[in-house]
Amino acid sequence: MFKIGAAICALWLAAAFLAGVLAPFDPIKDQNVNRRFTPPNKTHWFGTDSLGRDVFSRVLFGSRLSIAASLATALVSLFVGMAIGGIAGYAGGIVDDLMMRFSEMVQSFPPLILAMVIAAALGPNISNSVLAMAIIWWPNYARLARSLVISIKENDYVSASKILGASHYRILVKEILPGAIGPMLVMCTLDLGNAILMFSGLSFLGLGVQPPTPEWGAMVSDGVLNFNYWWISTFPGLAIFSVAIGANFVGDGIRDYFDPKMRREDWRETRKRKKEKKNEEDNI
Amino acid sequence: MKFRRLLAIMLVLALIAGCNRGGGGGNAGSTTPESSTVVIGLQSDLVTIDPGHMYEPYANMVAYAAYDMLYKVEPGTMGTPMPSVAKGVEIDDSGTVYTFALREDVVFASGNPLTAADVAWSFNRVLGMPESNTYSSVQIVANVEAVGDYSVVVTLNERDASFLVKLTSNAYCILDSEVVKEHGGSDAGGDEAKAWLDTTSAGSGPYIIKSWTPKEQLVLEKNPNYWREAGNIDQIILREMTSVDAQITALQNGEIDIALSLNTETAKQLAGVANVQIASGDTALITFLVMSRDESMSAEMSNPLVQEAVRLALDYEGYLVLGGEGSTVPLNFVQRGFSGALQRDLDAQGRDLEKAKELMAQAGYPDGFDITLTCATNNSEGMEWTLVAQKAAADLAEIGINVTIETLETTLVYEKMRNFAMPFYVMYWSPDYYDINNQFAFLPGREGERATAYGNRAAWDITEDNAVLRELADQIAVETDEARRAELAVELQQKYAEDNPLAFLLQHPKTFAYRSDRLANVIYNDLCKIELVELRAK
Repeated sequence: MFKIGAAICALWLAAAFLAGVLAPFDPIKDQNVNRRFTPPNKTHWFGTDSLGRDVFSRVLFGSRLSIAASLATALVSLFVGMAIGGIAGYAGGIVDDLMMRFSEMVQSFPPLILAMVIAAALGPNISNSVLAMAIIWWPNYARLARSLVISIKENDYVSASKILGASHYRILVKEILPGAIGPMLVMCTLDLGNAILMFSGLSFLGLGVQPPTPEWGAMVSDGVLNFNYWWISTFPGLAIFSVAIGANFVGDGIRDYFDPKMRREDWRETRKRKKEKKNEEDNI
Repeated sequence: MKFRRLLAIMLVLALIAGCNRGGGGGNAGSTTPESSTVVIGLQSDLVTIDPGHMYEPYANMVAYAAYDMLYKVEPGTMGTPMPSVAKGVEIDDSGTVYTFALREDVVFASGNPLTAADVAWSFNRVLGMPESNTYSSVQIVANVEAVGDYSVVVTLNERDASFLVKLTSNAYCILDSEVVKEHGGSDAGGDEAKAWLDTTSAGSGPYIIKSWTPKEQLVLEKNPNYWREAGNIDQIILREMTSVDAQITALQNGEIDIALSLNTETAKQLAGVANVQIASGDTALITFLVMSRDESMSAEMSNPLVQEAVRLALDYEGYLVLGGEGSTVPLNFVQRGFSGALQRDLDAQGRDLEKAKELMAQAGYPDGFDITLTCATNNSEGMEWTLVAQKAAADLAEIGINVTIETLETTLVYEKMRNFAMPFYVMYWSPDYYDINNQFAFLPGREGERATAYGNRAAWDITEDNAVLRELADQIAVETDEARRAELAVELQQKYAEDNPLAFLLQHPKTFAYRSDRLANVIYNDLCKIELVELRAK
């Protein structure tokens, strides 16, 4: 699974880097309304959009922005959330209360509206929308990190480390974090797809990527306006799907790598064992 | 169980009693036993529903449903006035004194009779609100006087060939003065009734505004006291549906009865669907680019030579494709259908990149420049502005102008427009009344009496060179001989084409669809969109 995921991700990263070489048409300038809504054919593999631009070229170029922006959002949220949630969970008491109430405060706002407010206040552009989304997303990670830290810190090996006189920093980073990073990374990879979609929402409201810059989410919402021309939204949609799936597989693999416990208690292996046992029984 | 049944019976009885009372009050006479509701899916741009303030393209859809004017537009025509509350008019020899005889059988929804005093009060109310967007339409009126109960004398500041057409717009809605006064209305300035009129209506139209939730829906209910023959629809809901796709799906499912925001491309999805009729109507809607002459915002874009270069760089044939069948490119501010309207001759006056580049060099920008094009997340009757903006950006890239598109929420763009805060933007225009006189809003003039909407918005002053535009317009405004009027209009447009701060892209028809199994008599009229008065349920 990890290999498939890695292959998909590598493919998209290559596409993003080589878009300039691979794309047969210019994604922005090559407009021609006379060939708009051309279905997929030999020249235009993915057809053309409402302004006659080549959808294939736009999907390739769109990968740059979509992947970079969603990755940045997910990673920033991950680090901020991990730091705050980790400290809250480890310290407990009043620190925990303060930090968690604060994160709940952020969460209590409707996410898209908060993102809109932030993006509108800072001015509409891509880095501001990344920032806006990181601001609304970190509490999810903080909550997860906190619960993971609380459950892990009760383990005997953590207590042992404490008794041995390890510093708080060491305990948090060296003992607890490796156990917590797996689920967090999985959540992070799951969020990549969400991030791309959320960006499209912001772009649609005029707060994210501005047209004519190719961006997958914006391309999907553009296609929705022309529903009878399926190819306009289908291909960028498939691109989002494949990136999300690829990132999920990679995240899954990373989790297995990081978490020794998981490696032993992998549910798939458990199921496999059960299946084998059942097969043996059936054979008998 | 028994109690519930009793309750249900009582409710039904109460409803029947309510219906009877409603029907008995007016001269509607026949009430259909079953209630019928019609839902219209649309994307209106309404910011107020007070007829004294409404200025938006969908304003008259609401105004025609809830109010009456002295004259209304004849259904199915582009602006032909037809007597409504007025029986007729007598114009004196000077052409400035209009004496209207009113019908005596008109009553407001409240039951009050509509008299000459209400007409005078309503006109004076708008005249007392110079801050209102509607004010420019009534400015022509010098004095309005009620003579007896059923005669009104209106004196104009000057002759106006379009006065009867003007009377058909929402600026001249007749309000129930007694009721509006109770809610802070005043005809002597300082009117405070807007807040109340934004929640309901006080008119004599076929429907009453029952509720309005901006950006959600507007509910119209049958006026039980309607003075003309009543229709068979009890309730009309104008539902805001920003997604065209949602409108299409809802129409297919029968959740809505009319989908208004289609265009020729999206309508193809409904072709061949049972019980759905696709229709189109002629509009006076024009889409254009505004280039401000205000140097403080963009020294480059405010340059008249650059503005002419922009007009020459635009690929008009491409916009015709975007607009769909039936679209045309007006030469400038006069739409097809109005006196002497000229079209842009795409062979002689179409795209000319060489000349455009020359003009750019002449202006001092041979290598072009950067500019932000603001575009609302709006559409001109189904033609998305983001598409227009992207096309314009690609067109202008050919002459070196590097356009960055900024998309903003529609109301935000309107606000910026009214504060003159954008150097370059996409906009549309739908007339308030269907006469060339209304188009003079595109003439130069920023200050004082001669100020115009786009003179202001584009910071375009009256100069010695363009003073002739104003003079021609003044002649057209009062000329009653149609042939002479058209002749003058042609001259005006040709002069206007020499220098102006706008780039007119397109005039295109309206496409919509409705449930043919549920509706009859669906008439499109560009002023009030669907003629709700004429609409009938099957």
